[in-house]
Amino acid sequence: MRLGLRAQLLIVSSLLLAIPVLGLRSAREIEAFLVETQEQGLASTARAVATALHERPGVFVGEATLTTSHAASPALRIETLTSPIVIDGQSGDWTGQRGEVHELTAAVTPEATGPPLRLRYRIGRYDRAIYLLVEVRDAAIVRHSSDFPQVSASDHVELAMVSADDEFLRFAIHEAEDGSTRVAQIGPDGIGLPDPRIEAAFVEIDDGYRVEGRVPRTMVGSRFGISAYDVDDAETRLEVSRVGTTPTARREDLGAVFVPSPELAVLAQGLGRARSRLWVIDNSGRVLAQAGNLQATRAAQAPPTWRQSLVMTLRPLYRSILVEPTEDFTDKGPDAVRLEGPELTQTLTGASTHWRRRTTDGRAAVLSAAEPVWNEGRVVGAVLAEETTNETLAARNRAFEQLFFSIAFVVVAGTLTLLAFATRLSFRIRGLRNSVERAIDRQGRVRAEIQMSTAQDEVGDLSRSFGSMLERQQQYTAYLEDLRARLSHEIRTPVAVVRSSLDNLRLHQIPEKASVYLDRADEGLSRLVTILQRMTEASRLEQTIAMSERESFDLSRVVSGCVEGYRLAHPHRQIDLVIDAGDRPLLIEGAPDLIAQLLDKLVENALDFAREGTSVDVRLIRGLGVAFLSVSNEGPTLPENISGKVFESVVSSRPADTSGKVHLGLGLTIVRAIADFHEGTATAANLRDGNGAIFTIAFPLKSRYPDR
Amino acid sequence: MPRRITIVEDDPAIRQNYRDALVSQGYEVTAFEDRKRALESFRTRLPDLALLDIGLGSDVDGGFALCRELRSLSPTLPIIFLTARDSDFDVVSGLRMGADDYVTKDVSLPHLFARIGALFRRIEAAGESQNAEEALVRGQLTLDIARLVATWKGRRVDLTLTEFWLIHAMAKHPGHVKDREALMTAAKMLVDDSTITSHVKRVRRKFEAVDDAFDRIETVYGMGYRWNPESIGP
Repeated sequence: MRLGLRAQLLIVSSLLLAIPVLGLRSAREIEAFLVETQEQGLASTARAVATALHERPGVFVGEATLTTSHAASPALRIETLTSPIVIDGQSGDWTGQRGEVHELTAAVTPEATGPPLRLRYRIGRYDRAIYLLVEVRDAAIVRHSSDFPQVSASDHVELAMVSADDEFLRFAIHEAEDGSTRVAQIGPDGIGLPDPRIEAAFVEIDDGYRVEGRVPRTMVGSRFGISAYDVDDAETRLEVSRVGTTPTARREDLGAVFVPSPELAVLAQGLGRARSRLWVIDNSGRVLAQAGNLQATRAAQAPPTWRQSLVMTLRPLYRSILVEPTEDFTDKGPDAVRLEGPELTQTLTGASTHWRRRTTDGRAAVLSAAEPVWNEGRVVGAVLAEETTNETLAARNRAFEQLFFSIAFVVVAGTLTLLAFATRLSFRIRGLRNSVERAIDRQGRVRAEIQMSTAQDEVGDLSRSFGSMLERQQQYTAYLEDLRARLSHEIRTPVAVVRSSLDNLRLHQIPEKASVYLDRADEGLSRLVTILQRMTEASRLEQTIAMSERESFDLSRVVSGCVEGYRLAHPHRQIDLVIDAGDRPLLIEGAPDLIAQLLDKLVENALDFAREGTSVDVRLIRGLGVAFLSVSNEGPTLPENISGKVFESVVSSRPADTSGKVHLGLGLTIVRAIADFHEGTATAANLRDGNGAIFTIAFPLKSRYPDR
Repeated sequence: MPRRITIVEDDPAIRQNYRDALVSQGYEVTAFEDRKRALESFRTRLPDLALLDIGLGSDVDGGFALCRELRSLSPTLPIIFLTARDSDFDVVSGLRMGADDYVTKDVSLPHLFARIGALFRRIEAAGESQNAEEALVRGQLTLDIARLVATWKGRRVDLTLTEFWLIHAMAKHPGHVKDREALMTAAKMLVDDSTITSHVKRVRRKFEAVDDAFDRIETVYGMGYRWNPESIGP
């Protein structure tokens, strides 16, 4: 397979493609390094927060009881109030407080009359107490009656909770018979016993009643629930409707409660980093505080510079190699009340841990670092810091984009430069090859000089050494040709001396016997002269050709004229002529004298080699745009190995005949030279029956006379 | 009175051989080995015929220069080049110099005698022409045999003696092919084939110089030449 220089260089330059791969590897290494750094930063954040929380039992232990988790129901979030609340049944001191008004409406039941039961509540915390404001829409308020000890026999608000001591407590707040507020703890039998721990105020309002209450914080543990029970008929005292955050009768039904710790939250806010989330948990995994957000708020981007836009044109390519981080992911929300996991468990035994995980939807990677919080030599909780790797990935991608763009630029520019270089190099080498090929003709003679390059490199050197080689070759060839001409010239003079001496000798009377030797000397001399003529024939012909002028003439006239002449010259030989040219002239461009000389050579050659008594055939046939002139004879064949070379100089074609004629193998060279002058092609072949040889010259016909 | 021939030849053996041979033929012969001495002699007295070698020792083209100088002395003196060179270039150069014939040194002496004789006969013919017909007229061609002048379409064509006799031989029998031998005989000279070809080409050129459309001298390949009585052109 032939591979040009350019192709070879392109293959070699494909090694450049390894550079982007290396770039990708280094980008990944950078990423690993950045992520590690990020992890360390995260760990130190967690450590800082944890250090801030060490030995602060007030902050920690008290809060620990306030929260719990319950997977089944939503957590009740208890906001911190900004000012204290007076338990007076008035809602005025709630306005402007943090937290919102929650509203729950009961499903319509067949027993209920009037509009469905509706519960509105707010819940907040101030100092060491939980405050409640509840408004219930109720057309008819049924008060507690001592006749009906069951709490359920009156309209009431029930508060159910699991205390910090893990005790399940239920309290009812309703209106006593005298219109005062009655707070009772509901026993297992459903009967309420007044309880002083909860302070409350029950007030009738336009469309129902309002309850304001205060529960010591220690009583609210992991779970909390509020319900309103409606009793419409004072006689039957049947419960007709209920609405609440959760059913409150059983411990398991209660929802979780979450109290953000203001101290921790402030602390976390202060120590937290942008785009990171901090959790503070107690030693059972309950969330005490949470700050920050995993998702970054998208900053408005400055319009890209031209360089960036250039870099970004390749972005689809980068995307196929590296993943673009997305902020569009979902993870467990900030309302989680309990965190679990093997790493956290490990942290809560006192070890610092960090790990990586995917977000719950798997679209982003989250780095986590956890640090235990110590109090009096005991792990009381842990700080968990989380951050997505998005920022790092984005930084990596930016770095890679820059790198990749530079690499792509270098590779493309480098490849193009190499290609241009290879093109130029192969152009120069091809130029050199062509001029070398042009410089030497088929006979091996130096025809033209090589334009020597002045370039100071290897190709220039090659060109110069070719040039000087050809120059020396030319000098040698010229010397040989000159030698031939000079030899023939120099020999001619002594030949002339011998000849004129012999001729002079004949003018004198010489004995009969001696004249025999005179004849032999003459014969030898004439052979010597023939050799001399043949020696210079080829070069003389070249001069003749160089001086010949082109004219257009009818080839068939020249051929038939010449054959007439041969018949006259060789009356005892049979020369057959076939001309198949139609009735139009075979016009070719050239010199008729040279054609006659060519035919002379071919016929002479054929006559020399023709077997005794056989004819020589001359044929001239019109082809498509060419005229075929062939001369064939029966006799010895051309050896197969040289049949393509018989027109070359100094190749003796067939076994020499015995006639003593001189064959220097130049005759057919003359044929080729004349054929070349006429832009024709000369071929030599053996006859198909293997009984002789045929020489054919194809002459292009003059195109100005197209075949009609 | 014997005719005088001058030989200018640098090789003493050849010079002596030719001199001896020509003397034996009854000519009066003077021989020189270089251009300078030959020219001195020519200035004193012109021979009837000059036999010049082209290369005279170190004077490579001495014969050509001598021929030019001799021509300036006499436009009609027959000159034969005698040389070892045989390239067509030299033939053409020799004939352009105004030489009448050209033989290579390996020519046999009888052949050389024949050529010399032919040239002398031509001069004789020129002298005798007073008695022969005055002019040969073939259409536009007029050959004034008395003055050896050819005219074509009324314009003079400047021909050497050899060329004049060549055209005369062809025009005498228009349409008849004259082979090379016949032309040689007619031109009263002995030359080889290629010299005839050169002569005919030169004659054509000279006619074409007078008339672009001249095409009356026709080559019959392998046979010879003929004068076409009518134009064969398109």
